[in-house]
Amino acid sequence: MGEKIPGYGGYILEVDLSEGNINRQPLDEELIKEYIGGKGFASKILYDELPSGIEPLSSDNMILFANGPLTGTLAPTSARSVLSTKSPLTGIWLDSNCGGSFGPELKFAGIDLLKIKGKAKTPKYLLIEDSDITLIDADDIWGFDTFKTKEFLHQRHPGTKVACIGPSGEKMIPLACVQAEGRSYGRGGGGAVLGSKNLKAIVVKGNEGISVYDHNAFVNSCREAFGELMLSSDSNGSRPIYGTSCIYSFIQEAGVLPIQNFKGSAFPGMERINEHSLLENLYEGNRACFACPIICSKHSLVKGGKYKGVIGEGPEYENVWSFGPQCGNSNLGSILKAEYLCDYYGLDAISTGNVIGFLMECYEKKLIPETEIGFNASFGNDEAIIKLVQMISKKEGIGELLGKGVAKAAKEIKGGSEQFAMHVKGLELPAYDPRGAVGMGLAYATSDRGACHLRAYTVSSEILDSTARLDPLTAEYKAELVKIEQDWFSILDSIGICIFANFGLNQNQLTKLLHTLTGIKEFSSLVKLLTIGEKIYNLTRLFNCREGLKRDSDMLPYRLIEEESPHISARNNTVPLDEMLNEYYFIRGWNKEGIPTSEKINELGLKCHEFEN
Amino acid sequence: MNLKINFSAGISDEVGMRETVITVSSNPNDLLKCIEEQIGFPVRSKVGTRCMVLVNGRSIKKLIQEGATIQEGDSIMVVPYLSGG
Repeated sequence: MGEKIPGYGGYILEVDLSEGNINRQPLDEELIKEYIGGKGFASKILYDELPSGIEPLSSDNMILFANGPLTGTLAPTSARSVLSTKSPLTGIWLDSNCGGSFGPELKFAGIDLLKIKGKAKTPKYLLIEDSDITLIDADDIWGFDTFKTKEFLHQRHPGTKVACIGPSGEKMIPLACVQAEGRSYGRGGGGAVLGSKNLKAIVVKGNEGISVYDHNAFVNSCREAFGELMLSSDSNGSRPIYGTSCIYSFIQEAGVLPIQNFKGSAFPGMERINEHSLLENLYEGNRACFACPIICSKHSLVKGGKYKGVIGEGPEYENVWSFGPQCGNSNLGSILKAEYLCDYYGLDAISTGNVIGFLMECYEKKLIPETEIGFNASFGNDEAIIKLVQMISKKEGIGELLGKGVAKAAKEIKGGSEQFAMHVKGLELPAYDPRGAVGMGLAYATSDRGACHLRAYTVSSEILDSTARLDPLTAEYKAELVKIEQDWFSILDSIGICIFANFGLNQNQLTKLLHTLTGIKEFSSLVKLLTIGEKIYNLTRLFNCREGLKRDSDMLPYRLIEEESPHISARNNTVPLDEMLNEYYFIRGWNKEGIPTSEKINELGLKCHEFEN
Repeated sequence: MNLKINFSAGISDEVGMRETVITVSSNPNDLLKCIEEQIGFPVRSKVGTRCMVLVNGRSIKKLIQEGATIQEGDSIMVVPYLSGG
């Protein structure tokens, strides 16, 4: 190959596990210009190459790992990479974003996009050492937890970075994630897809550099960006000290913290798990992702009580919530223990906590007898939470049902439990109650992977931003906000930058970083980038529409539409979803059923013949 | 009236406490001044750039816009400027 394209590793690596074929080919420049990288690449490849209707856990599915051009560069927070596949949890589009150091290492091995197809006959792992790429028998590590797997592979292949699954992925549990150097491709069941392919791990070591289009301008842009982040009261204020839980008290005060499966307003001892308590009683030190000056991640140690001695990464805000307020639990040690177990077995800690909270409500409503669970599963029972995480991770007892996710569990449990099964399109809700910030309701309902706070994060403008003038309790301006954020966040997930950089840098600064790195004229302005972002978001929508999704799938749980918020600050609010959805489809250029119109498809230059009429 | 005031995340480090009780009038326009005088934290110079003052979970600006007053039992919180979790 000739000179490298600035900002890119230069290669697509395709691995067919059924045939044992490995093919490394140059990256297509047209793909770059039209889709940038990361999520953008994934949207194009999965739409074009994955037929509709395939079974996510069959050998027909494909799983991708994709980097953005900024991944692995000097740019601040450039650690991000994307896993993408058809989700076994939801049956629709999935992309799951991860920090740490795995994505950058893949880039250093020259890989922008890794495509994994087929299914190996026996367990394997993929070893990538620059252009030397091999599939190696993994019989000896099948069954290992994620920590032991990582440690073993690090010892066998020094200097590598490892993404792997644990026992939950091997058992193809739809809540299973992929662990990568202390971080997770968490949501949607990517770990189960790797398990279905008999692929235990991807081990990578790279030594190639990344070329830069305009060295001086790029270095100056990076310097400016680092400086800006260090001036931000977010990036260099509470976040590095308190971690992602810095918002805990704020969110609680604003009436947006969901409690006891979104039905409660308080529970005993809830102040014992706020950001102050985490800092005082749990945090031991900081962990930063590659090239990150924000350092939001913590490692922790339980210093007393019955969980004394438990260590772990985090806990993150989302998991303090999922094993804390969601389950009515104020035992900090048990929260860290539950998160540790999720990392150990390889489970998505948001969905796992959500489904345990759901079970607790079912138990208290006597929809499931204690004999079926095996113990008292009331809200606040920390020991029950730990047992349930273990049962889910091993497919034991009631854990087998819970591991299928809250939507499928509710269908089986019945008794009206579907009304409080907190999911959208099968993906469990995260830690924001949209009745207190209704834009999040539209964000969840129209997220391309199901209920997700990282496709649009309106709570920032509705609640957290002191300069915004949005009313969090009404529909006004929420459709525009969600649309703009979805398009822009698609860009963030395509360029390889963390969403937290977006909180400290403006869009033009990020555009400048990208353009000075790549020199690609299609990336030279914010307007051009937003058009690409819109194209990506429409393509993932079309992927889902091809799977049969339409307006009736863009729904929220009954509880959020029909039951008033229990929080005083949210003033008995519910989510006016229909009103927002009508406006959103109109702004998007989608028809009343939520399907992109042929005019919109043509305007964006998408080649989706199934939808052209 | 006496109201409890809480300080979240990094603001508690700047103020040097997590909560206290202050005496306030019902006029929301006086609240920032009351906080400054009683706890010695220059809240007026920081609102909008470094922190927000919440009354019952909503920015005090909203209260002023609506012409509402501070009531007995209201919850006051000073929070740092944050963007997400």
